[in-house]
Amino acid sequence: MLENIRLSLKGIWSHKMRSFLTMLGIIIGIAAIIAIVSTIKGTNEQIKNNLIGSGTNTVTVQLYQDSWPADFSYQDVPEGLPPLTPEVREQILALDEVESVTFVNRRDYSGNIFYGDTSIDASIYGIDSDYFQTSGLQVTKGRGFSQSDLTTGKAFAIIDESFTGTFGNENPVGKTLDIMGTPFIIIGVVSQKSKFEPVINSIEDYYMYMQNTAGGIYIPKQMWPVIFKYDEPEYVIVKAKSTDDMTQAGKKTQELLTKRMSGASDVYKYQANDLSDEAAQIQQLSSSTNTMLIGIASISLLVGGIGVMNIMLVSVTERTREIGLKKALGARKRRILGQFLTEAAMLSMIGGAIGVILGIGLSRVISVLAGVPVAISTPAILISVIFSMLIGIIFGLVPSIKASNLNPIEALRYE
Amino acid sequence: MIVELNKINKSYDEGKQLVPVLFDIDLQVKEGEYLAIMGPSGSGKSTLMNIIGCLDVPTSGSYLLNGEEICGRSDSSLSVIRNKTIGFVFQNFNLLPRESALENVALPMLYAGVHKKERLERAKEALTQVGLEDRMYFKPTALSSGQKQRVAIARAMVLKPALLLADEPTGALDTASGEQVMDIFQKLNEQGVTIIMITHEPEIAAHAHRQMMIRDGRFV
Repeated sequence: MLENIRLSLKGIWSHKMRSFLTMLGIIIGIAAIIAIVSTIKGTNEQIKNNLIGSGTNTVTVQLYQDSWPADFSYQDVPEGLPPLTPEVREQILALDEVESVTFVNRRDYSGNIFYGDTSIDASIYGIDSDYFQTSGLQVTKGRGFSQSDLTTGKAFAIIDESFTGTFGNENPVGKTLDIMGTPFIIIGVVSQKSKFEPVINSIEDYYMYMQNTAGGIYIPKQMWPVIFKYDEPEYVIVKAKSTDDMTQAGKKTQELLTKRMSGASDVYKYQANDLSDEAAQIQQLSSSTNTMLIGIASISLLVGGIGVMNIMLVSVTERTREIGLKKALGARKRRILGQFLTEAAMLSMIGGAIGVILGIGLSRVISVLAGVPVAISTPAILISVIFSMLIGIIFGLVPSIKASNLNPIEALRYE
Repeated sequence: MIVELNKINKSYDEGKQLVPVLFDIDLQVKEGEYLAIMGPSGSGKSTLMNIIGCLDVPTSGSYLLNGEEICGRSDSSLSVIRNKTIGFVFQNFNLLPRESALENVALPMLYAGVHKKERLERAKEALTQVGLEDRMYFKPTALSSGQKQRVAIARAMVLKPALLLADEPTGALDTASGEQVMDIFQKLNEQGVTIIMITHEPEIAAHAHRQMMIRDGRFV
């Protein structure tokens, strides 16, 4: 075997140009597949990372009116909408997939928030004591809400780090915000525990990450009715125990909440905005396009295999005398077969290896030019090299059998 | 008796008709004999040599090599017999051009399953015996014709076969190199190796102990 490998490397090396041209089909095919697989993997990992990094495995279950998010600022809280009581909290916490839960009031783009004369465009959240922990936020300046702040409903606010720019170089803690006419004292600043910067390549990415990245201003839940004149939370946020549990945690919470509403109203329902679901859809979309590309690259591999077969047939003809001599000296059929199969396998395996290196380079270039993240997959590399070796063996079979069946005298007589 | 041919016939299928080449050949060669077979081209001497060398099988007749029947054996088992029992020397040397003299000589031992280290040692020894110890790492292209044929003899003898078959061994050599080859054959024969040599040169055939003439597929 070792001798066969040595001989085949010698043969390949002695016809450098020819060997390289033969390998080219396989090099191109493998390089294309590696580049495509790396891009798919990179994109998928990015989507998943952003989910884990951003939402810290949180699923938002939101109250909908018909197909629109319920908005109680323009209407009364409907009769018969069952309130979210501490018992409901306990029921949700009892679900296997749920780690923590929080009820939230939220208003996006409310306007009418000022620091002095500067208008601030932010979402306002009315939160309870579980919110920061569930959403993966941490206090970086000042302090969080104390239990008494929350229960007595102090006019305190905590702002997201993204708004600190409004205060220039000054410490925002201690400053006063005017929220819809009511003054709130800023007591702290929060930021995401795990930093992440999503790469936005498409409108889908934007929608997906928007709700995770939009900064907020947080006030105690008890203060919500003071400003907005209602207190029923529209949002239930659950934190799943792991990323894989997100879908189940969201679904079960949604079912639990919807069940309580039965008979209350036909137009209201709770719905989980499961990000992992959206992510899966995006992943599906990108991988189905790429499956097609892999199909096309495989055609190049097929063409490469035919090239290997062609050159091996030439090689067998050229080395007819050598084969005849080896048979005369006592080489059995099996050995001649092995020698040519090894050569075909080495030829395409070296092509595959060059293809892998080229493919890695290509994915780097794609990543820089197109701004798409890439992740090199080790299994893909191993599979490519083994697969290209198999191509060599399959397409080398016909020429090798031809060589092993040569009649020694005719082969020795061959000019 | 090392070689025993009884009523060997050989014909080639040339498409439409069978072309007979050998007619009822009988031949007996004892161990340690040195035989020259002479004949003009087309006489069938090469075909006879191929049959003795187990490279070709007769159409009919029986061939006993060391008392064992050769006819009807598989391709694989003929390979093993050639490897163990017969050494070949060709007119045009048939050395592998990309391999060194040493690797060329070591080749038959690869098929005999000898370990690499031992292969190289024994190949060196065989090359020393033909006086090429200082040319071991040369490629055939860097050797003279006479040196090439000596490498080929070293290769033929490295597994110490009982029978050496030489097909026009001096045909491509100048007289001096030819004499060198004949000297080596002489020594090998003295060591007990049976030699069957094909030649059309009477001076070369004269080195053998017995000369036979073949014409139109029959000994005359």
